[in-house]
Amino acid sequence: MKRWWLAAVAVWLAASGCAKEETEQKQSLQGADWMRAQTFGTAKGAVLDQGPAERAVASLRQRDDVREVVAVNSGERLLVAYQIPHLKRWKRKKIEKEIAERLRAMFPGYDVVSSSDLKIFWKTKDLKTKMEKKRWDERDLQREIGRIEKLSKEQT
Amino acid sequence: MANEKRKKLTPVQQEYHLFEKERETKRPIVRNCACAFLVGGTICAIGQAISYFYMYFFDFTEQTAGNPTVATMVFLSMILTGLGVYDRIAQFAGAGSAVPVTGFGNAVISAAIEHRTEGFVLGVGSNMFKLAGSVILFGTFAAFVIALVKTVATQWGGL
Repeated sequence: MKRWWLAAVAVWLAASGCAKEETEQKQSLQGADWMRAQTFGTAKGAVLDQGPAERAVASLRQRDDVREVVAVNSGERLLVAYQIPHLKRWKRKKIEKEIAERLRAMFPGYDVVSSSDLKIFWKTKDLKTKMEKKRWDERDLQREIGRIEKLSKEQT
Repeated sequence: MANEKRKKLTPVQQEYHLFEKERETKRPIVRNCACAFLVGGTICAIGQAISYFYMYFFDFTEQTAGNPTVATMVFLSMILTGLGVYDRIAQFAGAGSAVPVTGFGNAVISAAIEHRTEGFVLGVGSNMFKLAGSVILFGTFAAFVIALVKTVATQWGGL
């Protein structure tokens, strides 16, 4: 009986370990199912100009060490959140540094905040979805981006 | 036993050593490793789920979710030790339940339970960290050494 139990657990763990990343992500999130929703990149429906955000998304999507990207901009602020594929997380710091430098070079006049943190990705994605649903004025968007930026810099 | 040491043994002792070696029960190393892997992995999966919980429902990022996750895992293992459940898991899993951070909670509470009869101050108070004390000491020391290596490597090693 014990052996059967052990074998069943081993098979289950092996099967779940071999599952594709996308399937795992779908299971890991509740309710809103954030990851299942396709990332179209930027809030196209928003009245506010999202040109810089769209360019940032298009640029980062070309990299094979970035899985999903979402970006929002307002005024001189650009917030970019992305996901690094699981096995490439070994080089996370290096990838983050490269992306931050690339974005700063692309948008010299902007205050660029980039993060690979999952929470920041969720928050940015949420903000983008909200922007598509209702009209946002510049000040509200700035405040929301500021909140996410503050969260991304939190250490403890 | 190492060959060097065995050479120093008397013929009778050597004979006894061989006699003992033939009869002692073999340790099921592969089975133990498999159990430790499965249970240790399950504990880590639970930890990951708790981490996601904190990130999803509270304002914790991937970086900051670690602290409440560790606290929760230690707390849960303490409760399970008090209820006598963790001991059973540990019997089955061995290192799989001792190596993760939950093993720390188990070490603290099991020592506290063991010495409860000696009183709260001299029993529980002085023996609570009997096992966990070495974890704290060597954990702190290891962190210091690694920080030292990192400082040297980044400051002068050009990394």
